[in-house]
Amino acid sequence: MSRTTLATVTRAEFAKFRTARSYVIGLIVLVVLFIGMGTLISGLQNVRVSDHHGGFTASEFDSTAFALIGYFFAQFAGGVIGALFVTSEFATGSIRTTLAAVPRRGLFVIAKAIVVTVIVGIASEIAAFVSFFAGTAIQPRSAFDVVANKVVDLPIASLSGQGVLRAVLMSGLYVTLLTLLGVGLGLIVRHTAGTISIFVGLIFIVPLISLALPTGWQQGLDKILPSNLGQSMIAISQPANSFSAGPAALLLGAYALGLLLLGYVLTNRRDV
Amino acid sequence: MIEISHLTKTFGDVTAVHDLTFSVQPGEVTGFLGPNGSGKTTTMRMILGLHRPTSGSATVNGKNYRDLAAPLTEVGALLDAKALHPGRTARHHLRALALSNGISTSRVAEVLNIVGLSSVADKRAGEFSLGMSQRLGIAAAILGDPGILMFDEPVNGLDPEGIRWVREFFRFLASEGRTVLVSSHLMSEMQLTADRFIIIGRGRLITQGTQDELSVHVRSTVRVVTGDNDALAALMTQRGWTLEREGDGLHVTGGSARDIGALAFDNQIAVYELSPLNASLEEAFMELTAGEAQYTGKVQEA
Repeated sequence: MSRTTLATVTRAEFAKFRTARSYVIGLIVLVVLFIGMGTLISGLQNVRVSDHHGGFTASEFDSTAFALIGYFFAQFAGGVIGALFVTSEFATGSIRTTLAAVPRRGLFVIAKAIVVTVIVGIASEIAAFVSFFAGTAIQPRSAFDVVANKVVDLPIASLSGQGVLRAVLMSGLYVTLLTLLGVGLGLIVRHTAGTISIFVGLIFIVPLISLALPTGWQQGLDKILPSNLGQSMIAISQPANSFSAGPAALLLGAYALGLLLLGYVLTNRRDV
Repeated sequence: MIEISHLTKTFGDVTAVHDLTFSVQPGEVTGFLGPNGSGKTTTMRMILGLHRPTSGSATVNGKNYRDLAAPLTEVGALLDAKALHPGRTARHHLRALALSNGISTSRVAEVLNIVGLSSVADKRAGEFSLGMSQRLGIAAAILGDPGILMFDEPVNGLDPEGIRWVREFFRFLASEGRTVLVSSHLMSEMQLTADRFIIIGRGRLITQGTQDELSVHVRSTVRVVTGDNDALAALMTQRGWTLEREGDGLHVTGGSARDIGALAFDNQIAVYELSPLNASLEEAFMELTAGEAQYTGKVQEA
């Protein structure tokens, strides 16, 4: 006797992710951006330290951050994958076919979230580790420090270093949570272009608006912006006015969960 | 069995479906007829739980659609043939649907074979013609071997061969004891397929019944041309028959050709032409829904 359960719906959504080209391409773009930008920026450090007129000091050299910088680019691919996985259903009208097969809309929302979390989560974590190893492998080992006025060894990060493993894991987690943010926004907005615009605005535009606010507000807002939470999650030593990695991840997770919940409530109430 | 009870749906201040009550029985093909925009699709969406009724209820096998354990095994529906991801192949589309309801995926190849799409199973659905998409939609509807089937305008885009196949297939499904509801805006199409009709206009039920029951709405008119139309007209009017002058003859409603012929003979009026003009069910449908069409075009005289 067949039954529609979370397991069957999740299996179906997995199949849908694998069998549409757009999501698979999105996933490849995500991984390529993550690893590509991390190794590119790491490699460019060789040029930077060899430029003696640049006034390089070893204290500016953050090996982990350079190797993981790709997360910042990958988050957009993640957001697009998450948004598209939902909005394409509305754009093509397939949402009616989907919800006629799965009328309990909570199952539909949870299954979408599970599939995206697992697929993008695994891809992002793999990309984070590959990017970390590739990046640190090609970073310069020594450089002329203008303050010390001599050639010094540069601190290349290793996974056993203080907070390094956490940073690598968190960079993948960040991209995954941003993808879930895309899913939640997609459920709420239902239109692809609108969803992606809001997503990009949240990462790029809101921080700019924050600059125009009174200092007290600005500090309050900056602290809780998704992009700054990401920096907090990945930083080895926390910058001023920011959460430490754990609470930052929890808050970002709460954002994603909140949007998914709102998305569910609206999806459950609306006609399709 | 599908049961609709006092079903009403409003969108803002537009009433799409108004106090609709009917039931669809197993073992026959029921034609769901109405002009474009009369609320057929909205009604079907409410049956499938896609639209929430403003008031009233729609149940399938006595249950709300949302409460079905595995919906595709109880109700199969083709609402919009293009409502699928164009990048996915026909096979993958059906496979995902089967998985979602825990239906054996071996069923996918079976239904593709039934609708005649096996050879294009691995082509992307976006490349399908409308007719092929309709076949894929029918494959999706029968995927879970459901006892209730609904098809919204299924013959759109089908070639004559396809239309004949669909007609026979629906009749076959009904003969197996399934409940089959097929919507159309063409009575001429449904006349050949359906045993029973539900006719709506502007979201309201106009009438329902079998083909025989509906034919009482069919006015039969007789055309008669005689040597003395005026004399015959006077006699017929006395009998309470209604008539209209058309060219050199009379169009009579109320009396049969036999009655008219006898009347003319008794009064020694020469009959030159006597022919029954049987109105079709199509004309009855047009008459019933006249003024109910939401969108009507007019032919401008030059």
